[in-house]
Amino acid sequence: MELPINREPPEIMHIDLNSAFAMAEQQANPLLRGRPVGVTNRRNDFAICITASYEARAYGVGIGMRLREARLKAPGFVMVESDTAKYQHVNRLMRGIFESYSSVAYMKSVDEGIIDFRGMRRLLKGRSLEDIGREIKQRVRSEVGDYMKVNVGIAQNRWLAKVAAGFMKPDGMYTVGPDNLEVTYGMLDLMELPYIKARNKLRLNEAGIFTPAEFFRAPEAVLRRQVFRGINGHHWYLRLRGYETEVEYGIRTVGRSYVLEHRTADPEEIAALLYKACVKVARRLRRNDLAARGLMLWFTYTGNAAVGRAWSARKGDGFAWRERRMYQTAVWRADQLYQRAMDLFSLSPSGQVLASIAITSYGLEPVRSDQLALYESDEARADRIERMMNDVNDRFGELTLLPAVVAKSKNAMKDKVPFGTVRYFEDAEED
Amino acid sequence: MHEEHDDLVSVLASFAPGPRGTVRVTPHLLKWQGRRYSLSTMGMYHPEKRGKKRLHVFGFSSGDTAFRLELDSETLEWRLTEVFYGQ
Repeated sequence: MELPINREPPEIMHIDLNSAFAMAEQQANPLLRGRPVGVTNRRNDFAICITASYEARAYGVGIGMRLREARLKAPGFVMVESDTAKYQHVNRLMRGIFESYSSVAYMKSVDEGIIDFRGMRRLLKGRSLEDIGREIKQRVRSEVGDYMKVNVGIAQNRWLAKVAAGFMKPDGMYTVGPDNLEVTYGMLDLMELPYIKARNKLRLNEAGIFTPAEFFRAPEAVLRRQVFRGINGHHWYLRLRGYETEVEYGIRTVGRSYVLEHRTADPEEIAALLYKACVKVARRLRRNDLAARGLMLWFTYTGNAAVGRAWSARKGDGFAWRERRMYQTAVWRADQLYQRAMDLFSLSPSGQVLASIAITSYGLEPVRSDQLALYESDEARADRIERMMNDVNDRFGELTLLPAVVAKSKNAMKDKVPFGTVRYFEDAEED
Repeated sequence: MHEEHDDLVSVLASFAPGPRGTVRVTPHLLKWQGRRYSLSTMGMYHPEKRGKKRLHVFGFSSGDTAFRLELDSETLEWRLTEVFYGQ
């Protein structure tokens, strides 16, 4: 039996600050407004665009494009180095605005927020969500910056609200409800739907589905058995009809990634860099009372050689290597993480010049405190030393006090701006 | 064109009450390398922490030049850290 469209009123609002970092840079520097602008993590000859302004996108500049190519495509193109403190501030201001409207409001990613108005009708005192959307747009301009533009989408579930927010970019607002759902699908291409990329599009095409309208009309069994081959197909069937399918999960990984100021092949220096990264990961694990069983290293190298296992070619220059392992016991201190990171590091290719590192802890579980003992155990002592080091670094700045193993490293590591997560910002706020 | 600096500078700024109990600080005049630059468009303010130290960072333009200024809340020094020439 076919499931009818969800007839509940559209009460989920998705607010999308598109090209968020580029727009924040244009806000901060008035001379960049109206110009094609890109943001990179490191401004040098190898600089890669991590986001581009609307003006740059109009010239065909996109994510992952190199500076040289972007300059050829967009006359007057300016590449700006990312500034995490700035984006963190924008993120905090946006969150403050959203949270003033509902108890269920949060940043879904660095540039997307959700406000759930379900059950809030009485508090809205007769105001429509479109009216509130317009007010939010105005507040973003006055409280965050007069150049900041957001797209607002209103619908019955979070996915549809995201579809709606992307409908009238930039600075648009659109509502999808039970009455215009099918009409809206009729005006979109498959690839305009969130989470439908080339692979999913191909799967849909193979099942004879070429438009969002056909996707919407496809029977549940086709989506579940033929297209997505699993429960995912059932979720698509529900979300296309306006039912909520997205579930919030707690923290599943804690990690850090860095681009290196000075690229290096020196194993001692790389080891020191790894220790620094472990310190950051350990601090975040501690804040959340978590310990990690799993650890993954991900390195990118310059050069074109690709040998050994677990290698994969990257776009452009360089290549990546990664290794992961799940251990029996969970750890949370920097020295423990470092020991495991070194285990993995020993498997990495030698003699290659490192460009960036990422370390991710996973398999997280709550920390089990030591049993009470008459004398302090070695573990408890190491734990106490790390806490004291953290206190000193809290006061005088990150990595002020370091173990001797790291002292050799003069290599400055710059935090990379991450995609798709706000945890980095929350973490930085606590630093 | 973009330049990085770390220059102590003289700044004329106003401090006025802002929304919800905040203070709105606006740099109006900057003296740097013997020249005076008056604010024509305010860009953005954001705070930045370096350890316990708190910096207040301002971006603004004066004609076809844009500046990044940092006010150190401990020493109350103004530093010019970036200059961008628009032409």
